[in-house]
Amino acid sequence: MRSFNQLTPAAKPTNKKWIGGIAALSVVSIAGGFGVNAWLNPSTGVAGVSGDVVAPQTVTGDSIDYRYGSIQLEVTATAGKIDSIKEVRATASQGYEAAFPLLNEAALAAQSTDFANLSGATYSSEAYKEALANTLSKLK
Amino acid sequence: MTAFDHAEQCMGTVFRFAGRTELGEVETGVYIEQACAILHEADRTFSLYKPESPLSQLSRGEISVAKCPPVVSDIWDDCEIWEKATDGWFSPFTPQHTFDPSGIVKTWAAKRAAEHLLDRGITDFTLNAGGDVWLSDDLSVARDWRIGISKTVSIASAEAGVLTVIDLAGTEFRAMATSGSAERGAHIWNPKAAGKTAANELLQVSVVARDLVTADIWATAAFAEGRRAVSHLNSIEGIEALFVLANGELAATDGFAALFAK
Repeated sequence: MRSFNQLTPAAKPTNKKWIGGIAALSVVSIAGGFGVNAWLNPSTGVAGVSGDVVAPQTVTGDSIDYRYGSIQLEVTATAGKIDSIKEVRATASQGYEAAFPLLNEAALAAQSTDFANLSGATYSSEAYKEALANTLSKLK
Repeated sequence: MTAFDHAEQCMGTVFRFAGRTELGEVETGVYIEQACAILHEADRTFSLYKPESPLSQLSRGEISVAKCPPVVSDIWDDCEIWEKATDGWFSPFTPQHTFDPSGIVKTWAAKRAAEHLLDRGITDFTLNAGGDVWLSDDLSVARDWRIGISKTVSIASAEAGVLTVIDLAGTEFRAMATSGSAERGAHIWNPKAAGKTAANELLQVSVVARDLVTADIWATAAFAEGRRAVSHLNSIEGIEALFVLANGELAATDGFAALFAK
C-alpha cells in the first residue's frame, strides 16, 4: 500500500481548482474499480450485512497518484450505498504552478503599483550604487 | 515634523532608514547614527571578511565561543533553534563544519537597529536591509506599506525591474525577505548535501512574516530546499511566500495572493 508522501514536490493541500478534476477522477476510479472495493469492504467489517439497524460507515482510501499529484478520498456508505465522498487530501505536483494563471495575473496586475521599498536577493553596496546612479540618470 | 531617508553602507550592502518623526532633525540624526552603530558593531563581531573579527578567530579555531562576545553565543543558540524549526534547511554550519551565521546576522542586527529607533520614539519608518524590508506599526503613508519584489536579476542590471508589489497594510505582517542568486551568485549552501550548492530549482523566494529574522530565515531555508519548499512553507504558521521557479513561473503559499497590491 502506498501512503501519502508529505514531501511530494510542490504539493499543496486541497485546492479548489482541482475539484473538477478530482470529481472526474473519482468517477473514473469508481468506474474502473480502483480501491472502491477497499473503501466499501474494509477488513473490519462489511457494511449492511448484520443487525437490523445499519450504521453508516466511513472509510479512507489509499492515496492515489494521478497526473498532477495525488488524491485520497473518504467515503461514507450505508449498506453498501455511498452517502458522501470527501477529499481527504488532494495535491497537484507536476504542473501545479501552471495551474495558477491567476497567481501570475494577480502578480502582473500589482506590478505597476507605487511602493516605498524593494525586496530582492541581498544586493551588494556596489549594485545599490549602480542602481542608484542608473535611476538618477533618468531624472530630467 | 522631520522626514528622513538615510542610507548606510555596512556588511557589504546598504541599509536604508526612511520615515517621519515629530522629533527634531538633530535628535533624529543622532538616533539614526546610533542605530547604524548597532549595525557596524554586529559587522565587527560577525564578519568573516574581517580576519580580526571574533567570528573569524572562532572559525580558525583560535578562540572558543566562550571567549567571544556574549552575542556570539546568543546567535549560536538562535541558529540552533532555527535549524530545528526549518527541519535543517537553514544551517549556520558550512560544508567545512565552520560556524557561519551570515544568514542571520544582517536581519538580526537590522531588527536591533530598528528597535533602537522605536525605543527613542521614532515609530513611523521603514528599514530596508539590503533587500530585506521591515515596516514599523505606525506607518502614516500608504506607499510605505507597499513593497516591490525585485525581478530575478540584479538591481544594477539593465533588465532590473519589479516582479510584483505587495501591500501589508491591515495585515499581521511587518517584514519581507527575499533569497535568490540574482545578486551574489550561489551563496546559499545546501545543508543536507555537503559540498553541494542549494538545489537549483528555484530562482527566488520571497517570504513575509511578522518579524524580519523569521522572514529571512525561511527565505534562505526555502531557497536551499528547492521546490519542495512550496508545500513545506505552506504548512508553517505565520508566514506566506512567493516562489519564482526555474522556468520563471510563480508559485505561492495559500494566503499570498491576498497580499498583492490593488
